[in-house]
Amino acid sequence: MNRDRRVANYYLLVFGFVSIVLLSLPLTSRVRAFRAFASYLYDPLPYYGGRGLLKMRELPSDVARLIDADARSRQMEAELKETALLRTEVEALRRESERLSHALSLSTAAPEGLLWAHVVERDPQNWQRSLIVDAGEQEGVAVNEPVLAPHAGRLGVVGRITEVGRHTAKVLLLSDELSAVAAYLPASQWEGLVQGQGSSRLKMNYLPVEAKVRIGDEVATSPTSATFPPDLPIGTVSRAFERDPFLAFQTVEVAALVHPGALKEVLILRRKSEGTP
Amino acid sequence: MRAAKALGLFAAGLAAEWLWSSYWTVFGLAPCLLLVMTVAIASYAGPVSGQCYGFFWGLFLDVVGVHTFGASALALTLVGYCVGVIRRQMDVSSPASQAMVVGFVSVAYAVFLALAGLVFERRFLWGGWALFVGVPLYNFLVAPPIFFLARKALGQ
Repeated sequence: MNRDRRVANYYLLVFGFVSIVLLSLPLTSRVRAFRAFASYLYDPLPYYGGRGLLKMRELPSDVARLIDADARSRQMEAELKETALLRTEVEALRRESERLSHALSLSTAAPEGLLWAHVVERDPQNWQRSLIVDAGEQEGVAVNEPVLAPHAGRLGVVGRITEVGRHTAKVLLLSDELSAVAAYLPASQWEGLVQGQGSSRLKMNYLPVEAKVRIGDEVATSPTSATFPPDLPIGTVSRAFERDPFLAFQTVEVAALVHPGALKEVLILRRKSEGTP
Repeated sequence: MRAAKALGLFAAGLAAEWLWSSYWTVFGLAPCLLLVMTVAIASYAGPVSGQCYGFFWGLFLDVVGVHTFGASALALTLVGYCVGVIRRQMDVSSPASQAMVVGFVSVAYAVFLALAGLVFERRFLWGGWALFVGVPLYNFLVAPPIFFLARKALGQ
């Protein structure tokens, strides 16, 4: 018997013995420990292999998305160039408006800047009351600043900041019973006060009795509002209540433009602080 | 260097087996690449290499499976030993003979596993005719390219 054959026989004895022990005593602690160790050694292959393969499968779609994003970025850059002139005009108009307001001693609710924030938490008891966003004092958020949200390509009123933390702020939603905002009907110029009812339907009070209100009329923030800039959409008239002969005003129900339950991001309008020119 | 090469071959075998059996099955069947590779390595490198690869590849199959932990390791060890010992009497130079050897060993491997179940779990681990015939046939078909790759990997 040559040396190779002898070595092969020894290997056979060792491997065979180990295999027989594994087969014969599957429930003993040492065999179970060996099995756990073998699993520990071999399991990374399917786990990391599977994840790697998944990433490779997603690679073509990721590349396609990257190319698409690049094309959209170029398109947006071109659009941005086109809006430069418009922006200059708007800036000039804003400055003129500020000059005139200052000359007439009118207070304005013009925002100083915009800040996007993510909704990180909602009131678990009632989603119509308040929510918390991930921007706070450190980001320059202050109490009473208006909060808006995009809906169908437009920005609608969501509420206002009522508490500010270090990196978070609480937003009192317009639908909360404690909320109220001066509003008007742009179609007829009648003014009123929009108040929350704890549901997605708002109530617009104090409309003059002679006001002609139609279902579907748009409701927007009033130019007289001290908190909100004018003409921000709040919602549309969804119902007109019967006139109470004992009251000197009428009330309508307003369907809010922005539904708090669908909010993911909000836009905070930062106000000019004291001393800002 | 030899150890790294051996480890690389070992890992490549595991990866190939896992990939094929997970993603490229035909009618739910995949070849037992580790068995074919054990036969190929034992044919070219002898019984010691055949047994070493066979035992540790068999452990992988045992870890993946749920029955008779150790049976695949023992079966592939025996395959590595037997093929390695009688390799001088075998002709594995042509694709046809390689396929024949692998086909025969595959049937023996399937019978061995079923009998191991009978002995150690008291039930004949019969996977059905599809497995008993289909997998050896599959192994038979993939044997020539695997032998070719194994010969290249072993530098022969």
